[in-house]
Amino acid sequence: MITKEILSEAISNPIDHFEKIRKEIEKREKEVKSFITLNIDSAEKEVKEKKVGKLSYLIISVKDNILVENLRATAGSKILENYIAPYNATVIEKIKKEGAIIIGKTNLDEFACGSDGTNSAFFETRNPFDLERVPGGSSSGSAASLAAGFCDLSLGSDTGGSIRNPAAFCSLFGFKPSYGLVSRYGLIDLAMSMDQIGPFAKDTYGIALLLDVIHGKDEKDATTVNKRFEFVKRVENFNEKELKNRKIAYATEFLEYCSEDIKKRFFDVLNYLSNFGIEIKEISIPEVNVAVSTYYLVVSSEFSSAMQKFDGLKYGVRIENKDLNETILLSRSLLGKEVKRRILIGTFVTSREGYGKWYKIAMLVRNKIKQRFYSIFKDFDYLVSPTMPVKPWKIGEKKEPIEMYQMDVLTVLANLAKIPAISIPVDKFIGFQVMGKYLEDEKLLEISKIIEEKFNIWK
Amino acid sequence: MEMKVGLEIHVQLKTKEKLFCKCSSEYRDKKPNENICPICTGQPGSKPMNANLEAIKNLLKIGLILNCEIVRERIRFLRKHYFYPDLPKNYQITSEPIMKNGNFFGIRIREIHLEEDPGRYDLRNGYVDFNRSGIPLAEIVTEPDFNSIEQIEDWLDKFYTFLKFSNSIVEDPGSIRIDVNISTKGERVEIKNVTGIKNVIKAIKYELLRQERSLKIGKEIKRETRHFDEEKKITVPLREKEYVEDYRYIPEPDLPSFKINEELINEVKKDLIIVSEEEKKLKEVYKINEEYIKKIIKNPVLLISINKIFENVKKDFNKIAELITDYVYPICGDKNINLLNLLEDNNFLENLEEIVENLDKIDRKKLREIVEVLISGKNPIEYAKEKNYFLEGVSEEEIKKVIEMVINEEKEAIEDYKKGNAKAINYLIGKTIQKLKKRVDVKIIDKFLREFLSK
Repeated sequence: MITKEILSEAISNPIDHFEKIRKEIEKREKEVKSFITLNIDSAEKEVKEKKVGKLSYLIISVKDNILVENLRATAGSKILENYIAPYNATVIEKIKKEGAIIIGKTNLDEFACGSDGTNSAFFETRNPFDLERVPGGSSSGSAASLAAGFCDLSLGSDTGGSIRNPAAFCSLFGFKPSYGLVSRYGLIDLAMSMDQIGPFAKDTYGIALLLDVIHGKDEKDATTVNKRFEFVKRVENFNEKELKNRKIAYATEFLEYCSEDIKKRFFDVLNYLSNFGIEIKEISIPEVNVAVSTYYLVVSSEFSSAMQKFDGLKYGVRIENKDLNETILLSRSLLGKEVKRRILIGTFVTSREGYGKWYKIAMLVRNKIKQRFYSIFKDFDYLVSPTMPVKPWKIGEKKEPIEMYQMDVLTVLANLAKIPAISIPVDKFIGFQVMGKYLEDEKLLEISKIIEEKFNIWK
Repeated sequence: MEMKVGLEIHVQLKTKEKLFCKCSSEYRDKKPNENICPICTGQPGSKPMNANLEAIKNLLKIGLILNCEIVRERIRFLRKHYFYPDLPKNYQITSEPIMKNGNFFGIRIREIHLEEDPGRYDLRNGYVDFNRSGIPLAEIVTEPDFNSIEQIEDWLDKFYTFLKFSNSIVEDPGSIRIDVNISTKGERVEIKNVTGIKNVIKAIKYELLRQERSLKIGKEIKRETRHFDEEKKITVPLREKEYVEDYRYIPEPDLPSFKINEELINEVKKDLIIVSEEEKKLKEVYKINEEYIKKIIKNPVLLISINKIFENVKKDFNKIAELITDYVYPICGDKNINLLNLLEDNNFLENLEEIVENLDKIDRKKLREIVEVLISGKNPIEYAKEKNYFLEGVSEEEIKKVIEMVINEEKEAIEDYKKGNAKAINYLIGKTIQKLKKRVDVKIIDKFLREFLSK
């Protein structure tokens, strides 16, 4: 059942709808482990209240790095294990106003640092389609909770693929908006110049519905843009005939990283799309090969700065010592290994010694990538690739940091270039990624709708 | 001792709200941590809002007063990283220079930028109060152009007076904080975060003494950062080990860069007193004597008052300048009266004009008394007439005749004068007036007397 039907079911009988979801959670959450904090009791109360709005009675799970007032916000880290959010993120204000019900806060890689969901400080979330496999990350719990039927929609965050990656691994739609389309106020920082909050859904309509509600200018996030879109309307009114003469590009370099089964499915989708009169062209983007290193330099630099505030003094867990510096040091020792690694790299990269050699170069390359994408979208409407180069691996199949970072090669480009990108499920465990021109987010939903008609496994 | 001093002056900009959030700027009378929000306490997920425009405008005012150029390129915010309990994010948001290359009474201004004030850390008890966190600050960096304590004191006094007058800063002795860079015969020493102008002077005095003593016993002055202990009035080393602080500046990703446009500058320039421009106007338009220009531009109240009067009276500018500078302004000061308030009264201006018109005919010795009447709101000219303070028409011949008589009678005084006793002339003037029995301009007598005596 997809979003539109879910919505009508929820409105006509909210309590039944909620009970169905509660049963699902009771049955399977133990094995999937998607929530850090469940909010069932207050959600149940809310279901009994009157709701009017675009998201009335829809059950939504929220990644635990997005603040929901009076609920814990751990960001998947021990250092925030006891942190109760004192305010609502802007997106939370917006979805609540439209009648959504928050069912819980979902697991994630610590501070969103990770690509498969196994890097949470609390526990590993599992892929609902195969509990032996990873759900993808870092929005692991968001994707798993939706795929397992614990909610109707979910909110995640995407800095280098953290929505699209688990969307692909859990066969969901996941959308990373153009930078500045959705307010980041209340999203715990990973890399401020790339972070975006975005929706998970089981169809294009669900993505459009949530986007309609959460996007827009916010004075509490100075990087938001003053633009209004009507995503649902655009999706509903779209006619496949309009695809004629649109142009798609894909890069040779993308496929060099992909396994055979992924490539095969990718070309199946391209073949299907060619039926609509879309022109498809292979191009070369040499910057793909430096994308991951550029991305990790930018992430680490910004992350090391963002993490300064976690000192155990104002909030979160404090390990007290007579000496102030010792208190800070001990409290910060609660951070996990990958988080520490990125802080150290970022601190070095932005230090007097590293700045010219690393930070500046990373900025230069990032600008080059932006320019490259700008010129690509002069000639093409879409740039496509598989979302992930491989299918989800098995939990416990340890990957070295560099190998793990390489998994992001296809997703980081959109964040570096600040452009919109969507992952569309085209098979179990496999996503098809479409990137578009900056602030042409609507156009991605149009092609998504067409692909969905043939490939969506949720129908 | 020879010295070179540069200052980094932090002033709180006058605004309704904090720099990056909507919290009030009135934090002084509040209970600890009452004037806070997620943004100014650096809660997870919070972001700075666009910088308070009021703060930017006030910074521009300061820069214009200090004769700075406006930076025309896009200006970014930066993050300056260091750990301290009063700094909620453990980095401070600070802008790139907004104004540059100024000059204020001979001291060059290197740059001015915008930054956020930290909270307050009570080191002894370990308490932190974030009520102040996020208050907008302007940091004004001078070149090392100071070379005496008197000069620093005098300059800071003018600086503070003009800034206060422009209504751009918070008027509170604690709201001005200064880092002092001082070099004598060794490496540069920095005294960090001295509160208030008085303490700055004390800190420098002590530091000079300390350096002198060190040099005397053959110790070298090493590069270091010191702290001024307000109670003991001494400076103490702040960081024992020598190391260069690395603030890891990066552009603030949460804030877009901005540009100062012409419209904003024009808006800010309205009603602003810029000394160099006023000086030029006094010289070229009103043709005021150098001596008086110097006196007037030092003092914003005087400057604005004289400007206002000039606009109304439109003549006798030098006479007005003299009357206001030497009589009206100081008398107002003695009586604790705000001259600017007096100017609101049309009667005052009319009466003033009358005095100016009669200035040559009034007995100078009685001018102070007449001005007091003017300030009290009564008609000063009527008063002068009643009291008979007007000079009487006496021909030059008559004056010369009397002077000859005095010279013949006062041989002793003339001897004194020739020996170089300057006071003797006053005695002779007095004698002449006595003999004349009329009110005569002292200057004329003085002039004739000297002519006679030089023969």
